[in-house]
Amino acid sequence: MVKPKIPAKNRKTSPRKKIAKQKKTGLLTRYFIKLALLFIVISTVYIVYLDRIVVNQFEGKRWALPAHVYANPVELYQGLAMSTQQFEALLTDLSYQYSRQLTTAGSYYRSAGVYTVKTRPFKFWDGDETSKIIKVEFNQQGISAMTDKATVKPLALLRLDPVKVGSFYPSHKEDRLLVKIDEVPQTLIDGLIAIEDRDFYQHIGISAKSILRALWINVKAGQVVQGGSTLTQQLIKNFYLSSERSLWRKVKEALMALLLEAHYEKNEILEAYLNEVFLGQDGDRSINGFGMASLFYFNKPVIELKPHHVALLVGLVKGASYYDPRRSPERAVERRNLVLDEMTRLGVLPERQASIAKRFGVDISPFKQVRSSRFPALLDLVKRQISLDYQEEDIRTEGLNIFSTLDYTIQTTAERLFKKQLTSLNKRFGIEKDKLQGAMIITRRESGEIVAIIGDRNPQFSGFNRALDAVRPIGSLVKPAVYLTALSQPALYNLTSTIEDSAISLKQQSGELWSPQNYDKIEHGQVPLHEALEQSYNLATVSLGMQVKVTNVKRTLEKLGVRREIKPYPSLLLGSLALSPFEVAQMYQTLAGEGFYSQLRSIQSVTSSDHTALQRYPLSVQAVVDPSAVYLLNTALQNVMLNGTGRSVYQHLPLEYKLAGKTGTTDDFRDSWFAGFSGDYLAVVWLGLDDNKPSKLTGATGALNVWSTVMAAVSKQGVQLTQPEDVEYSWVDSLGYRANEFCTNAVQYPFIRGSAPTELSPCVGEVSRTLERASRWFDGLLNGR
Amino acid sequence: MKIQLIGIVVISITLSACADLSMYNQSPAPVRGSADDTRYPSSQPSTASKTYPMEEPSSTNERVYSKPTEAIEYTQNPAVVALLDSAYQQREQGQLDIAISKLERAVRISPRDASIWHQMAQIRHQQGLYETSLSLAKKSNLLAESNKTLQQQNWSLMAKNYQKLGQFKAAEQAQLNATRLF
Repeated sequence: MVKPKIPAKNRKTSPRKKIAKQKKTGLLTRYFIKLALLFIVISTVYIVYLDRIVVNQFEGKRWALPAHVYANPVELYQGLAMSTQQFEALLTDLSYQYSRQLTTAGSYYRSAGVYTVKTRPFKFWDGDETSKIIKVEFNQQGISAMTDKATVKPLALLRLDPVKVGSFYPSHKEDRLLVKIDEVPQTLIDGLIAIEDRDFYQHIGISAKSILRALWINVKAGQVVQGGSTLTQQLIKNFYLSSERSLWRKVKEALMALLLEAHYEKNEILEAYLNEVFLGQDGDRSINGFGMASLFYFNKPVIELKPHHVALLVGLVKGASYYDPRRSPERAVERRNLVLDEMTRLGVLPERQASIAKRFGVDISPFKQVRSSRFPALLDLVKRQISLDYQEEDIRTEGLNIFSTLDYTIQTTAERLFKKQLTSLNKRFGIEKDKLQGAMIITRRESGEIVAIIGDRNPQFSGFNRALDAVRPIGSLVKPAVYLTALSQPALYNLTSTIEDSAISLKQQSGELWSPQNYDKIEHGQVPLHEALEQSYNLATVSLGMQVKVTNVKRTLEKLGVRREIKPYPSLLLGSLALSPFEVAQMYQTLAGEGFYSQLRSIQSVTSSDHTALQRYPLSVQAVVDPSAVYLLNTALQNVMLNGTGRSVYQHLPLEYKLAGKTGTTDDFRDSWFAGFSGDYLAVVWLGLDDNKPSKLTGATGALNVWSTVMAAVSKQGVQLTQPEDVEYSWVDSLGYRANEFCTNAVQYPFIRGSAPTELSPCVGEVSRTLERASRWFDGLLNGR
Repeated sequence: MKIQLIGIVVISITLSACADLSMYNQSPAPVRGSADDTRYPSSQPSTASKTYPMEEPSSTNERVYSKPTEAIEYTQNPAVVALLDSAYQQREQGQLDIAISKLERAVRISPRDASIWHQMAQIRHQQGLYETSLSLAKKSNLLAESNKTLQQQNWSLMAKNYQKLGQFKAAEQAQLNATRLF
């Protein structure tokens, strides 16, 4: 059964084999066709997928642009108190270059005490400033005249471009300044094409010719002069792909280059390239695109570049760190000259120009832009304030221009002096080396704009921002709120009302007895209200606070602008309340603003990357406390500085400044505070140790010392208080009785109308008594008309 | 009785005037609107002279600032004038926020110029920000000190703001204050 089957089978095989063979080849072809089809389908899908990537990213937001933060621009005007030294320092801060020819915007020269400045154009929230040539003259007081050279007319006001004080970078820290292709000099485009991709305008994205030619040229030169990739391929590589080197990636790159060329014009691709290419490194910030590179190396906008600049930048494309003109100037110049030669050879640069260009040295600007971490405390604050309105992602990628309230000169001056004073106090008081910490905030007195902020003994150190986050008991800084609560009730209290400064014991919430003491451990008996504040008597303050009620003091603090929760315990009266220097500044701002609350602001306005106005953070005031009561309080705070705990200030500043302020020291010298204002600025200083151990500093020996040194350098105006209509001055003797100008020891104090003492001092003579009565009768007659 | 009173008044006026002239010559020259001032004795400090006592204060060694007498003669800086002009133009063109921005620049240059604060209050009123406008007008009024014209404008503006805020009594009082200053 089995046997015959086999031959039968065999017999049958030969014709079947043929068919099978045929079948097999047919199957193979079919497989092949199927495979080919599959391959085509997959490739098509893949290409469509790549196409989507190419188009989407090219059409969409191409680059994550960092937000830039600017200082308040300096406004020059006739009468501005600024010396020529300060003016030169300002020009240096703004990276203006000395040049007789004033060839570029951002240059100046001096001749016989007169400055001629060619300003840079700048787009602000409220309009553009164009580049102008201005003559600025000085006299002893400051700027005496400004003339516009074009119109030969006096100029009332000149707003300079602002100093950039920092940036919020995307996570990869690429920094770029976008340029349009028509803002780029033709030599740059010609040079780039000559060196990197000679057939750029002819090829379809990839070019066999280029690869071969590059090979040939490189072999001939014995070094790599040219790369084989087209500009399009380079763009694809940087823009879309990772930096791995593999054949697969090369294929992908070529495909995408073809796709990109199919979709877009040559100039669009070139513009993208000009903005994408990596051209340098500054710390952890990478310099991308010719716009930023031009500023970074030459401190000029790209349109102003000369051939030798252009050639240097083009040379950097091959290796920005190898040819770094700051680190290896010779190598950079050599590379530049090679580029110049190649440009001449291809006829895009006349020989004469090339040889002129070669005569230049490396010619890079000594100015480097301000590092992004130069003002960490400010950037931290700006970030917190802007985060209320913008998403983190947008802040880091939308290229916002943030105009801060920072005054560059004041900030840098304050930093320098703050650091110096802290070092010297640290040493003088025998504190463990580098342990004394501190923070400072300076604001404009009338508007609450923050002009300077320091959060560390080393102001440039980016770490714990004590100005915002060191929340410490404020000690006697709270006292003005106690006295203001009393003075707001003129029927009961005035500056000469007497209060009891004697031992007092209060039962606390916990049931414990609280027995505060005076700093000098002495009871002073009956003291006038103003003196209790001037000398910062604790016992008198507690007794006054208990009279006016702690809850009312709490309410006063809230009106002044304290937003943190306040516990209305008696210990509040001596400053158990813990606040940050920023919050203290907010509280004192209302006193400096004469009863008007102004929110502390670090941002003025925001514009988009194309300079469209986006947002403004306007000045606002809110009438929160009676200006008359604040006037009385401020007068007393002036006396704190004149006779009281703050008097050492006048070793640094002239008496005419009539400064107003308050010292604060907490238990065992843990915190040293000072808050006060001059005519133009309010400042708060806190000093202490991070571990909250005693620092041996009082408010006066520590914080006030720093405050005075800084204010002496930045403040230009003494305090002028506006006397409200219902405040009048009266003579009062030392016991608080009404006196007159003939009495010895009598002093004038302001009173809210009707609250001055009426009982006459014995020193007032009979004639005066009669006159007094008569004038009161006369006043009554007029008022009751 | 009447004659006696008149006599006392005459004597008192003469004496205080003499004191002014002879002994304390530091009383300020009237600055602005001095003609108006005479009509409002209530706004004037009642005593004639405001200076240090003749002798040094002895026992306490306490120093005291003299009553601030001077309202410094104020001439507007050309830069401030330029910004006010520019703000005015922007306002005319309906660009109110830009106008405010210019005024803020003016405040940075001359923070205690009451007229700038008044302009801001005007624009905020125009924008319907009545609370803000009210506070700005109050601030301007405080800084205006002896400038009666400006005070009068501030009171009128405050009256308008109170009106819009539905605080009719306050509006009435503010209007009254404004008319009193005419």
